[in-house]
Order: sequence, then structure tokens, then C-alpha cells
Amino acid sequence: MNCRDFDEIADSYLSNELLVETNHEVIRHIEHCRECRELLAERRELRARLQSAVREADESKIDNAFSLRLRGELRSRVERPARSFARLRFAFASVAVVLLAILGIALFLTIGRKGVEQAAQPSEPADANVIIPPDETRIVPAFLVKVSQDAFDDHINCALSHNLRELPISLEKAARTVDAVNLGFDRSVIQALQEKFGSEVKLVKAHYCVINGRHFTHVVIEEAGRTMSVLLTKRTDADPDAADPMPCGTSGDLTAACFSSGGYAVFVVSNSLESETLLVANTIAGAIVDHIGKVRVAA
Amino acid sequence: MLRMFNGKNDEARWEAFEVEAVPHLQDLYRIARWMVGGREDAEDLVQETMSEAMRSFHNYERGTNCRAWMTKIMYHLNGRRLRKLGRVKIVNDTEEMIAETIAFTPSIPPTLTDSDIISALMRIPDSFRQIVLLADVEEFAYKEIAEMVQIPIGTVMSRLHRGRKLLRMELSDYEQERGKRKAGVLGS
Repeated sequence: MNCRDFDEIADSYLSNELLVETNHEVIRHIEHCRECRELLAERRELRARLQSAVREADESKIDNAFSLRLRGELRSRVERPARSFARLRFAFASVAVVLLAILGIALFLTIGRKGVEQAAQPSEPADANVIIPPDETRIVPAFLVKVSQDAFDDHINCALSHNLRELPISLEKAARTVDAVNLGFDRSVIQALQEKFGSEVKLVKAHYCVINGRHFTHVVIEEAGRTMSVLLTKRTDADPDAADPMPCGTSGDLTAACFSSGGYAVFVVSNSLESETLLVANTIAGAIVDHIGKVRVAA
Repeated sequence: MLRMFNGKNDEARWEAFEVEAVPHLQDLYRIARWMVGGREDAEDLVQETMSEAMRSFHNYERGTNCRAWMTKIMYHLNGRRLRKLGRVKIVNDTEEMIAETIAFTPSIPPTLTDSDIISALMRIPDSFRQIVLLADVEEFAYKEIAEMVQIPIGTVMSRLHRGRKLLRMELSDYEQERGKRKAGVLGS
């Protein structure tokens, strides 16, 4: 092998793409040729520098928010068939109800109107206080659905655009003047989130604010460039309990999850996927229930 | 209709996908970013690639290079995207000839910064740059690159050889320009 041959294959040697025999020839050549040895070292260095320059460039770094969103979306594709199956079961149940109704009519015609009138009890009136969202089998109390609109508005006007008519007050002041539940609510939320997701979850602000005439204890958090609101508000005793967090609507690209506990309703609003917002609600639910319980005991 | 994860083995298959494919997300994004340029286009391409990889995961042969398999999907999708946009570039003989006429191998200046290297890389023709990136930055084998880019392995080798030569040339020119500018400033 001469120096010209070496120049032609030096890069392939560095890429480990040569046959074993040719590798041996290269090694034999550079043992005796100082110039080619230096040339090889130089190319090795350029290759390392190029690799490091491209890999370390800002343009090469994936955005964390995009990465999380994509993973969540891919993950949700595995879950979707299960939801379809739930819908399928619902369809089967509907068909069964229709068949029973037909059977009932046949019975009515066979036995006679009187007997059937005695047998058929009037059905329970539909609970006007609940609705069933089309995509979910879970029942979301109407109160939570209604207030979720205020929660979306508060997230948009308070957390994102700072456009409130009334100035918010601190949680300490709200604890003294309105409701003791405000004291330390932000700590309970952030601790639960950081335990699960690490210190990347940051508390942006926490206060007591008003939107559309409804008062919220409002904790704004940030994770991987995304802003999320945790909102607590009072509910009436007449509202049905919904202790387990559930999705409770969307508004534009925002999703909400909600639950209620001990006279309060809690909302999580973010521009994440529904499953991610629900995950956050599930993560903080225990800590919030504990927090409300402690305040009650202290009262 | 697209074939999605379905059936009772979904969960197991997702777990396998999560272990084998998802960890390459950062690498795929880097490859996409240098392939298409802008952040949004790169994110779209990565998203499309991951979705396609998930749908076709049953075709992936365990134990082989999953990163190379997904990069091949990405090149295929990008080719389709470019064809739709009418931006397919045929590497013509002139470019190959320009690269061929580089008669000497300049030495690499010692004072280069990362930014100099990136600038030089961006000045070489795209068809050479892509191969240099795949081989020298991503460390794919020649055979893998040939399958990704759908060109014969001999063409991979020649483009790589010429691409590296062009890069060294650009770096050498850059250093000379800088030397001249410096001399000009000192002399004035």
C-alpha cells in the first residue's frame, strides 16, 4: 500500500468498513509512514469534532414538551381500542334494551293492557343533575361540567393572560378572611407533583382569584414549558360526589380533569392531552383530600 | 385503514416499542432536524415516523438496529413528502464532478470552533452532507445508509469520500479567510 492508496481508504478505515486483510495493510503502512499516521489522526479528530459539534448544537436538541406530548399520544393509541370496546359494550347493552322493549310490547299485546299496567312501574326520572359525555362511560356531575367552563376561563384569563377584573389576594390572606383551606394548598399540590415527576415541576404562582363571579384557590404550575392550573372551588352539598378524578371537558386545545371532595371541587386545566391532565389530577388527588381533611379536623 | 395496535397483546407490544423504539426519539429528532432544516418540519417528520414505526413494529426484527430501522422509515417518509412538494433533487453529474476535481487534501486548521464546523458543513451540497452526517455523526454502517437513502453502497462510499473532502476544503478555506480578515484588521 502506498500513501495515495491510504488517502483513499483512510476514512473507511476510521468507519471500520474495511475487510480484515485491508485493515492489516493499513496498520502495516502507518507503522512506517509518519505522514499518513498524522493524516489519520487529523481525520479522526475532525470526525470527533464534527460529531460533537452537531450533537451538541442547540438545533439538535428535542423539545421536552414535544417529546412528552408525542409519547403520550403514542401511548393513548394503545388505550383507544379499550375505549372503543367500552362503546361496543354500550351498543350491545342498547340493543338488549331495545329487544327487551319489543318483548315487553309483545307481552303487553298477549296478556292484555290491564295486567301489564300493573306490572310496569314508572321508571325513575332521569337525574337532571348529571350528564353523560359522549366519549366516556363515566358520569360527570353537571355541577363539575358547568364549573369546568369557569375553570377554563380562569386558566386562560389568570394563568395565561393575566386579564382578571378583580385583583387576586394571597392564599394567606384568603385563609384568614375567607376559608382556612387556602393555607398551604399550594404546598400540598406542588409536593405531590414533585414527588411523582421530580423537581422539573415548578410553582409559578398561587393565589385566590375570582372569575365569572366564582372564587378559586388557584395554583399555577409549569412543567417542560407547559403551564397548568390547579383550581379549587366550593360546591354545594346537593352536588353528587365524584371522588375519583375524571376527564371533564375540553375547550380549544385545553383539557380538564376534575374531582370533588368534602364540599370542594378540584379542576386541573392544561393544554396537554386528556390522559396527561388526568394523570396530574390523579397524582394530586390524595394530597388534596388529605389537605382538606386536616383543615376540617383543625376547624 | 391503518393497522393500529389491537388485540389483547397491545400492552405487551407497546412495552416492547417503548423499550426498543422510544429511547431513540432524541436521535431521530436530530437526524430529522439536519435533514429538513426547521424545527416544525422536523417535529412533524418525527411524529409521522414514530406513528409509522408503531404501526409497523411487527415488521421490526428484534436484535437488529432499531435506530437504523426507524431512520430508514424516516427517509422513506421524507422522500414521499418531498415528492408531494415537487422538491426531489436529482444529484447531477456536475456536483459529483466538482467533488471529484478536488485535487489535494487540505489539513485541518487547529483553531476551529464548533460553529466553524457547522457553517462549513452547511456549505457542502445536501446530497453529500446527508451521507457525511449519517456516517460520521450517526455512525451508521455503509450498508445501512445505502438501504436508508436507497442508493447503491458504492455511491454511499463515493459520496462520503467526496463529502468529507469537501468539508475539509471548506474548513481550510474558512481558516484562510479568517487569517486574511485578521491580517487586514491588524494592518489597518
